[in-house]
Amino acid sequence: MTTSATREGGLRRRLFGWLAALSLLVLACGDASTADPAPPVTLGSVDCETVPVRETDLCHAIDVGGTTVRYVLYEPEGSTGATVLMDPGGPGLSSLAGTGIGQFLATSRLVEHLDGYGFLMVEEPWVTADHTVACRTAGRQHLAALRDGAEPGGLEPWRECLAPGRHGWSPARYREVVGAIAERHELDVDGFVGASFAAARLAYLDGDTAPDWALLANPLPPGMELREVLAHQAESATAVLGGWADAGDVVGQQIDTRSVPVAEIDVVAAAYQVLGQGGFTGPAGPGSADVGILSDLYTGRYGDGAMSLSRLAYFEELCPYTAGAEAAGDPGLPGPTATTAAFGRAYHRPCAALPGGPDRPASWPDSTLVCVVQAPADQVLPAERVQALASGLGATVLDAPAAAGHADLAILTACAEDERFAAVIVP
Amino acid sequence: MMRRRARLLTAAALIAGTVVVPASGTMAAPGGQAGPAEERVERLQALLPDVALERSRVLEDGRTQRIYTLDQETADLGRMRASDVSRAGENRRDDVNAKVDFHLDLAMRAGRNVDIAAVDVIAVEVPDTAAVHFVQDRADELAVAEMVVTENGDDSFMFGIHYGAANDEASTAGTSAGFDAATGSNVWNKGRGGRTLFWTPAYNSSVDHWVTTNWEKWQSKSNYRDWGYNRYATFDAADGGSAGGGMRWRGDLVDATIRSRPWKGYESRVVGGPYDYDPRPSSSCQTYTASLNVGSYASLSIPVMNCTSEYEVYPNANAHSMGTAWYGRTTGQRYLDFAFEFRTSSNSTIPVFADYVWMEVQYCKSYTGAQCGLWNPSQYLKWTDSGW
Repeated sequence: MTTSATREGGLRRRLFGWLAALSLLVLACGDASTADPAPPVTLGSVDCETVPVRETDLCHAIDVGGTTVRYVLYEPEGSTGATVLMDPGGPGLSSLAGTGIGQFLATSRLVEHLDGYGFLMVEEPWVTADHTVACRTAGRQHLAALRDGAEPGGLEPWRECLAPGRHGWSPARYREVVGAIAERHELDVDGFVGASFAAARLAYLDGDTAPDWALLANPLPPGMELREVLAHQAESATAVLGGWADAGDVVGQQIDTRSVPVAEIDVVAAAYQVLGQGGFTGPAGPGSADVGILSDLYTGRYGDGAMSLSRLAYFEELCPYTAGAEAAGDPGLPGPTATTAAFGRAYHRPCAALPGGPDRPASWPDSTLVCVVQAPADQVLPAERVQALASGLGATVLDAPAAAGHADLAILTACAEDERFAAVIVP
Repeated sequence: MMRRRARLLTAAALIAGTVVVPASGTMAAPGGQAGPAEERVERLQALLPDVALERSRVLEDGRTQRIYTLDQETADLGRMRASDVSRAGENRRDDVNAKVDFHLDLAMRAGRNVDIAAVDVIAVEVPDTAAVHFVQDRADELAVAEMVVTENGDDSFMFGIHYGAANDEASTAGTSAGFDAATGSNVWNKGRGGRTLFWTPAYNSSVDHWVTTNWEKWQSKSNYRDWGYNRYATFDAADGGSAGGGMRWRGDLVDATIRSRPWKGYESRVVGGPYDYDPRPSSSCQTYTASLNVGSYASLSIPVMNCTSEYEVYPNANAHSMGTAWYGRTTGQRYLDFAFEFRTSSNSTIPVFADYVWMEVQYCKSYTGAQCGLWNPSQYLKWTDSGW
C-alpha cells in the first residue's frame, strides 16, 4: 500500500515546506496577519486513495501528460463500451470524494432510462492538487480583505496562483483527459448528462470526444457572462435576505466553534450559498452558527482562514468561460441590491487575473443533440436568458415545474422522456 | 515487558510539543503473557492510574470487558482545541499539528470546510494496546467518557473509548458552493459532522492506522417526522515498516464495521425505522439505484459502492439501528457507508444518533511482503460515541 507512505511523505514535505513558506511570507509581505500558519500541502503521487473516494471499487487513476486524473467508471456486464459522461457541475465540486456518482445517478433518476450504458465521472483536478504557498497566500489575503472591508489586495498573488487547468479544467485539458480515458477503456462516450456548469464541460468537447446527445439541467450556456450571473444572484440574494427577519442580529456574535465573529459579509455570503441548495428552513433565518457554516461554504474559508482549493478551481474555470475579467472591474449599479451586488463583485475579483482568451467556447459541439430543461425559479442562473441562449445554440428547451430550483436534478427526466431524445438515447 | 502508566496526554504536553508515544518497536502484541485473572486486573489497573475501574463484565463470547470511567477533569486533560495547539516544526508520528492539518485538508478536499476552532484533539495512551489520537469536529459539551479494555483471551486487547456529546442542534448548512447539484430531493440537511481517528499500530510503522467517519442528518420537507441518517467512513491500516533481519511488517485490514443507533437517553425520539435503507443485501453494481426514500415525497441519494459479497448489513427495527460491515483482506483502504429512513416522535423532535467504528488489523513479519508465515494476534480497534 502506497497511500500511507504517500501521506507521510506529504506531511513531511508540508512541514518542511511550512517553515520555508513562513520565512518567505514574512519577507514578502511583512504582514503577519496574512502569513499562513499551516504548511503548503504537497500530495506527491496521486491514486484513488490519496483523498478517499466513495466508490472505491469503481475508481481509476490515469496519468495524462504527467499529471494524474481520477475518475469512476461503471461498466455493465456485457458492456459494448457505450458510455454516458456524468457531470454534476461545479466548478469546485468534489465529485468522487464528496458526493459520488451513485448520488448523482440517484438524484437525477435517470438510471432506468440509461439501461445498458456505462457511466463515467471525472474528478476536478483541485481535489488532488497541491496547495501551494502562492495560492494559500492569495486566498488568505482575499478572504481577510473581504472580511475587513478593506481594499482588495493586488492581483499579483492571483496571477501566480491561478492558471487554467491547474485546479479547474481548461477546455483543452478536459478534452485531453476525456479522450485519454475513452481510449484506455475503449469507450464510446455517446451521451452526456449534467447540471449547471456541466454545460461548460460539454462545450469543451469536440471532434472525437463530442457526445451524440446531451441532457442538461439548469445549464450555464456558452455566451453567458459573469456580470449577468452576478446581477441575477445579487437580486436572488437580496430576496433571500428580505426573508431573514433576524439576520442582522447575528452580526458581531462570536461562537465557540468559529475562529472569527460573524460579520455582515458572512450573512450576505450565507444568502448566496443557499441560492443553490433550495433555501433555508425556519422563518427567522439562520442562527450565528449556521451563518458561519454557510458563509464558509460559499467563500471557501476553512481551517484558520485559508481558502479551499475548491474556490481556486471555481475562479479558474468560471471566469474565463464567462468573460469574468470584465465583470470583476464593473462598477456596479446603485439600488436595493447594492450590498449583495458589491459582495458578488468583490468576491469575484480574482477573475481579473484570468482574462478570457481564444479558448473560450462559443457553442456546444455541432454534432451533439442537446436537450435543456430549465427551472423557471432558478435563483442561481437567470432562467429566461438561459433559455434564450440555449435556443440560439440549437438546443431543445423544456420547462421544468414551477417549484423546481437550481438543485433539482430530477427535472432531467423531462429530457429523457421527450420523444425526440428517448429515441436517440437507446444504446 | 516494561509497564508504562496509561495516561491522558495533557494539554500542556501537547502545547510543548513533548507528546510521548512509545516507540513502535515496543508496541508488539503482548503474546505469551497470560496470567491469573486477578493479576490481569491488577495489571490493567496499574496501566490506568488516572481512571477508575467502573465495572467489568463477561461478553457472550467469553471475553472479559473492563470499563473505566474518565471523570470530566481527567478527560479534559486529554482534550483541547486544535487552535490552541502550538505548531511544531518537526514531523513526528505523534505530531498533533500534522494530524489536525490532515483532518482539515481531507475534509476540505471532500467539500467540507471546517473551522479549526470547531476541531478538538484528544490524545490517550494505553500501553500494550494503542496510543490513540482523535481529531474531531468539536462537540460543545462533554457528556461522559469511558475507556473499554476487552481481553480477547489470547492476551491481546481490544481498546475502545466512549467519548463525545449528543449533537442536539439542528443545523441547515449545505454541502458545497458553486453551480453544482444537490444531494437530496425535498430534504433538508439538518446537521453533519466528522472525525479522524488515529491509532498506533502494534507493529513498526512510520504512520498510524486511521479512520475518517462522517454522519449527516436529513429531514423531509413534506413530513417533518421523516428523516434520513447517512454514515460513511474510510479505513486505512498502517503500512508496515522494517521488522529487522531483512523482514518487513505487513498490516492487513480484515474487518471494518460502522454502526449507528439512537443516542443513549434519547431513544424515545426515534419511534420507527429503518424503513427504507441502503445498502441492501442484494445491492449490486448492476442496478445502481441508490435513492433512499425519506417519507413519501422526499428522497435522499446515497452512493452505493457495495459491488462485492464481502459486505453485510444490519438493519434493526427494534433498536432503530443500522450498520454495515466489510470482511475481506486489503493492505489498501476500504470505504463503507449506509443510510436509512426513520421516524421521530413529533414534527419538532431532533433525533440524535450515536456512532460506532470497528476495525481489525492482522499483521505479520514477512520477507516478501506478500507471504505471511505466522500472523500475530489481531489488533482490534473500536470507537463509539458516549451515547452508544
